[in-house]
Amino acid sequence: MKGIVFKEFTDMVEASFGEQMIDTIISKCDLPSGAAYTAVGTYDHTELVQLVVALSEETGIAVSDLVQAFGTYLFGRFLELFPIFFKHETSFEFLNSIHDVVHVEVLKLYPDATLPTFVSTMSEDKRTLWFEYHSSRHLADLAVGLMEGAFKHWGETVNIDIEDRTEGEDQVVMFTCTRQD
Amino acid sequence: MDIFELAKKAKMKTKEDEIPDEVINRLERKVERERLARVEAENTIEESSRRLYLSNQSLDEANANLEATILELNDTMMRLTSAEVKRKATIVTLILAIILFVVSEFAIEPKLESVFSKQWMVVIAKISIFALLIPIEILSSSVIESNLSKSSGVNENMYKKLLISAYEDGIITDMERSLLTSSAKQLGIHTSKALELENEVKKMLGQ
Repeated sequence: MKGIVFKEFTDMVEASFGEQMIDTIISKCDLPSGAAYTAVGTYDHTELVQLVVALSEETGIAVSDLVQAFGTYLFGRFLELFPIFFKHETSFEFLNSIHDVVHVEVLKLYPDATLPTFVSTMSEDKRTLWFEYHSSRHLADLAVGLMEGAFKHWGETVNIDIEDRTEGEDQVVMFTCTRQD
Repeated sequence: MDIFELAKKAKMKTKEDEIPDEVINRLERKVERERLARVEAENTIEESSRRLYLSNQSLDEANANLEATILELNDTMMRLTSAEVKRKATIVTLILAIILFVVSEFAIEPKLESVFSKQWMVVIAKISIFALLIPIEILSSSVIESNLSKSSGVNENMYKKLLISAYEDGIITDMERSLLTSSAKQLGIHTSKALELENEVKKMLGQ
């Protein structure tokens, strides 16, 4: 998993839960990288899982809530760091462009990146988006958080219906997003 | 869900009375992590710039090879063109020779025979007419040759083709520019004429 995700996670924990907390959870985990994350590196995604689990234990907040909140935080950071990808009129248009535009650009820079697959279809009235997440990393909660960050950014009220379609090793989740406004 | 909202609600086990030694240890660990991260980032950058340097070098090499191939191609094209010109000149000369032969055989010879009584005088007259033919042939073929290659058609068309392929992607790279310049020189196209052709091609491609 790309270093930027780890760097943003540790920065977020430090900003929201404090310096002591990040130190505590790093000490609790057995991290091959020693948590010396850089945005330009690549690290085993299980390190992130360990950190989130440790944070959950320390704070009593459910893992899925933490991952989702991290997704929303990450969306804000991506918006700041890569504004060029967020020129769309609506969140649905943006989500529709992830697989064919954003991830293509990521792969140009990092050919070895393992990215989740998103299969998206928009209804003709553009008020419903079927967004299917496929990944070996089982981070559908992160996707939910990112989507919520997007809806907030475009000032939309969207209902997300989550349906787990996992059959094999990869997690497959169908999100049916419907505009409520 | 906002992480800061979650953090506010969480039952935090943070110690308010962290003793100075603990603070120092914690900060030392943090400094160490930051130092390791910096070292790793530096290594990554070094590795990337090394890779960039190497791929740049192989690109340069490939460019040089391409340039050489293109120059060779240009040379071959010019040779083909001049061969074609020569072939045309030969055909014209041949036709001219046949016409002259017919003229001398049917129009001049009967006259010669009536003028000169002796056979050997007729032969001499014929030889001198043929001798006259040779410079005419040489002259006509060289006129045709120079006309064909000058009337530029060929060379300018070749240069135009090069321009079109260079402008295909909308931009002229440094390499394309240097190739165009050297091709123009090789094809004997004057700088002002080359510029004129270039504007023509640009207009044609709508740029």
